[in-house]
Amino acid sequence: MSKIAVRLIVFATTTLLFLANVFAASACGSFHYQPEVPDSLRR
Amino acid sequence: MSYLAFSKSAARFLTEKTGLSPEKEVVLAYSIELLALNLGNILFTLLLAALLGVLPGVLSCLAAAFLFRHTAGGAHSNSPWRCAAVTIAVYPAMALLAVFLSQYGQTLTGVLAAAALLTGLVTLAVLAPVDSPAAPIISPHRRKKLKVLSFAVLASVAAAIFFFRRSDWLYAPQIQVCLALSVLWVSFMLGKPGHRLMCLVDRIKIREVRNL
Repeated sequence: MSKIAVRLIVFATTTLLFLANVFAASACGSFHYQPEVPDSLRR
Repeated sequence: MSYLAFSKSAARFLTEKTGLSPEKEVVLAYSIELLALNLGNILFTLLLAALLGVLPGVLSCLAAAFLFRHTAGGAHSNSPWRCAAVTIAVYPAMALLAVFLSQYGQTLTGVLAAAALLTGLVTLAVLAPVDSPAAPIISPHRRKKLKVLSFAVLASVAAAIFFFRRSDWLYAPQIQVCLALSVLWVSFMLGKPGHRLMCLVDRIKIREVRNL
């Protein structure tokens, strides 16, 4: 796999982990549906 | 944890490539699912709004509802597809109603906005934030923070309505009504009637399509 692809995957993963924290901090993640919040993000 | 198949497979791929722990795979699946659902809901709602010619109204409805849902919470459906159906149907319908109501002049718009803001204020004070078993609010500090933030969102919506009241823009009356209707919708979804509606939506049987 090329260096750029690896960097893109790492960037996407980091962004998604950040977004998971943002979603978990709000009262409702989506408009009218809420998937189960992982235990590690519950607070 | 039950997530959609595409969220799980995408999370598994990213976890394998980056060498993260299985615990992080669940977090990634959760994030991918919410991101995809939000983007899908917004995209299809805006597409329908564009087709119906009510794009500015729907944009204002979505912005207000998105901020309110994130801070005040509310009733949920058990299915992402039913959620999408409700979102795609409700906000363009709200904008169409706003187009109809905005024809009756500033007095009706003003009364509607005042009633909506008052209803929103009372509902937020009594009920917000409303959590769900899938995403419980455990910390009292977080609960308090979300309540304060929901009041801040209501204040921003009130400021936006006031701004559009003084604006000469063609779509200003329509957007005022859209914002007022969004506050009413969010207030409805915070209470028992909203929860009953979502239960009703969850009970609707969808006929299975079979290949003959």
